[in-house]
Amino acid sequence: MGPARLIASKDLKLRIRDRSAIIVGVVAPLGLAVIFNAILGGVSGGDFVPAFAVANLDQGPVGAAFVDVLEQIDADGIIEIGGEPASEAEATTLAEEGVVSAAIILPQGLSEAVQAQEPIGIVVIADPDNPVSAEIARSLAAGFASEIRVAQLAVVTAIESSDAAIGPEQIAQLAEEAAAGLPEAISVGAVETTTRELDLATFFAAAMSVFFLFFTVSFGVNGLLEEQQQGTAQRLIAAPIRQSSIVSGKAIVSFALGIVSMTILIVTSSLLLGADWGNPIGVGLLVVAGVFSATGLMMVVAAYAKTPEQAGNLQAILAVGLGMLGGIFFPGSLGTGVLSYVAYISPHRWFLVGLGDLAGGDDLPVILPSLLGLIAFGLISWAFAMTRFRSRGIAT
Amino acid sequence: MKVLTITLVALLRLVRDRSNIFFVFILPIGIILLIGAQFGGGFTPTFGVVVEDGAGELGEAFATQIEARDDVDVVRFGSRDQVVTSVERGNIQAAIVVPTGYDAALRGDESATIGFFTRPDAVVYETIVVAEAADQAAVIRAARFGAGQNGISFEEALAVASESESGVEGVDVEVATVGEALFPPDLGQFELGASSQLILFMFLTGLTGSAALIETRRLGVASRMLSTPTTAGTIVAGEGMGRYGVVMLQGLYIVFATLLLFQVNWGDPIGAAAIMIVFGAVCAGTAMLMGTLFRNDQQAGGVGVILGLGVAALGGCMVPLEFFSDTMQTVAHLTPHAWALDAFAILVREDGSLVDILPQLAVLAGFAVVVIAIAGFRLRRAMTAF
Repeated sequence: MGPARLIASKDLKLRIRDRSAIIVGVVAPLGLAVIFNAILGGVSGGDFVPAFAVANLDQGPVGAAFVDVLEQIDADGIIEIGGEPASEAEATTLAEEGVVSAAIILPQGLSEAVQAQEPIGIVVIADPDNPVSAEIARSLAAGFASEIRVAQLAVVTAIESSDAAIGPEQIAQLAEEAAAGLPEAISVGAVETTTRELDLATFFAAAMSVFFLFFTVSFGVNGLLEEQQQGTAQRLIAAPIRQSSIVSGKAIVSFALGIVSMTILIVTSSLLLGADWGNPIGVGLLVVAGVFSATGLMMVVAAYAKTPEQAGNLQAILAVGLGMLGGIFFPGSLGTGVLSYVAYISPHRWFLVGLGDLAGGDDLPVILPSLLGLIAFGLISWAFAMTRFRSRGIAT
Repeated sequence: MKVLTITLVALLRLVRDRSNIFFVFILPIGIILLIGAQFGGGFTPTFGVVVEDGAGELGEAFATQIEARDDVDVVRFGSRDQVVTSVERGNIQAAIVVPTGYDAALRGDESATIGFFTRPDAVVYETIVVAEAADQAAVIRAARFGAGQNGISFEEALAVASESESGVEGVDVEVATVGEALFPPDLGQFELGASSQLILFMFLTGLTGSAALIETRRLGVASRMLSTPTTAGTIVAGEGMGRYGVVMLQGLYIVFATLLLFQVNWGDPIGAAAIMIVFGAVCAGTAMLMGTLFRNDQQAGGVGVILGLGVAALGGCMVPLEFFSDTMQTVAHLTPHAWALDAFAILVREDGSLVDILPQLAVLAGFAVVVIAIAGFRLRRAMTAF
């Protein structure tokens, strides 16, 4: 372990003096996280309560009943009734100016038409930029319309399935009974799930950290190629140390740079950006596994490349490509398409999913799949790198 | 003529560097493809649906009913646990579980409950499921009413109710929209991503390419050129044109590749060309400036990437400007990116022409004049200082 430690400490000193490692490892990810945070900070968050205007132009019981329903939902805090305009034109203006996200218009003669089973329509006027609100307004109207239809259908069914002839008085009585309310048949039991996703501040801090981690660790392993280029590799080989010690020395540099930069990023993003990384033990395990897989990948490239430039280029391609694939620029999920599965070849994805799972609860075992994914990625990379070193030696 | 030769050398150096095949030619198209696949065509919520064993015919009918909606994408899942995990991870917006015994309960005069799972920020989707449940319940409730009134079996009444269903008028719900949509519905799948990535990559490639300029100085190429009968002005002009050539090559490649691959609509061609010409000048000027600010080409490359991505994010290339808060929109317009994006938005979304984007072009030209003036002055000094 002696020579390896010596090589590592010399390289670390070199890296700290040359400021690029600090720029790539700390300044860049933190700066980008701050920018993303500023841009997107105002986008999400807060409870979304759509405001609707209701123009009740109907004079009868049906319109009044619908307004009652809406007021009940308003009281539950799911929607907000943002105005009761007296005309269709007024309601349209409210929606157009964005005062409300949709206006619901109950037309004149609604009650009469319903009782006579004549066609009539409720109109929802929506702001095109608020499709979700428009859908809620439409669903509410449709839900109410369907209640009306149930009553109508119930009356028709009773009439059609009766053997005896039914007179107008009986029909009126049936209608009254049906309108008074039919027992519910299907209810929706809604459950709010926990969120296994990172909030935006944490997501961008984590995503930028892991993205730049791959560049940071490359400073360590690329030291091997620099030694080759400068001719110091031959001298190291001539010295009475095993080649594995030289490789270990470089790997230690990568590890140290990775762990230190990640730690700095986690602490500063928590303090400055309000990022919440979650259970420290879980985060620690993921960081170690992440640094392991990142070092492994960069080591493979260093093992096969001929010059530091060639290695740097290929490493950048891999880091950017896998990062994009792993979704570092897309907060939230990758959906359910093919892409969401392909993403798992990227260690970035495993890291972010692991942190997301950790955010869903403090149970450490939830990060096990992500940890194993990262470690497997690292082991495979290391195996390739070691095979190459064994067959070719660290320098030719 | 000498200016042209220096320009050509810059272009050759870009193309000869093999890693640029990835960064200049593959990456931008890949990202546009990714963004298009991810966000193109507007947002449609995805529901996971589980029909548990023994949910019966009515249970399956409910799932089919949800699938028939065109405002919701439906993915079938095998179990409640799977679907709930998927909701928690945010892969899908909501989950519907039709439980075992659903059919039996409904036929047996009992009430059935559909399981609905969403995260706290997406409870709005509940209304969709409630409406669909009400739809299915309508026939059942009517049948129960009919059966109760006439003393016949539920199955018999259900048959009558199902048959009568289409004849009942009910109340129509009609949706009309007012005002102009931020993103018109006919906006192509790749349009939004294409113009923002064009802007991002023209700037990014320009900045990272500035490393080449430093190399030119560091290796003494500039001094050697000066020893020939070539004025410093010619070299500065040549290097500037070289940066411009690199930026324009990147831009033209993205425009034509997306045109061919994804049929992206770039709007009025004269307007689009004008934006690229002026924005390209901003990028080339900034690249020249970068080339004078650093001694070490590795540093310039690193800072170039960070600056290129950072300014692009700030300028609205990663998240559409429309999503920014008012303050951040103002900040965004300190970058040339935001102005170029505004101009493209006018061309593509509002079918504008060159005349409509003149204000944006004027601002971009202002950016270009300032950076090129400073960069030209500094570069001339840096060249002759060696």
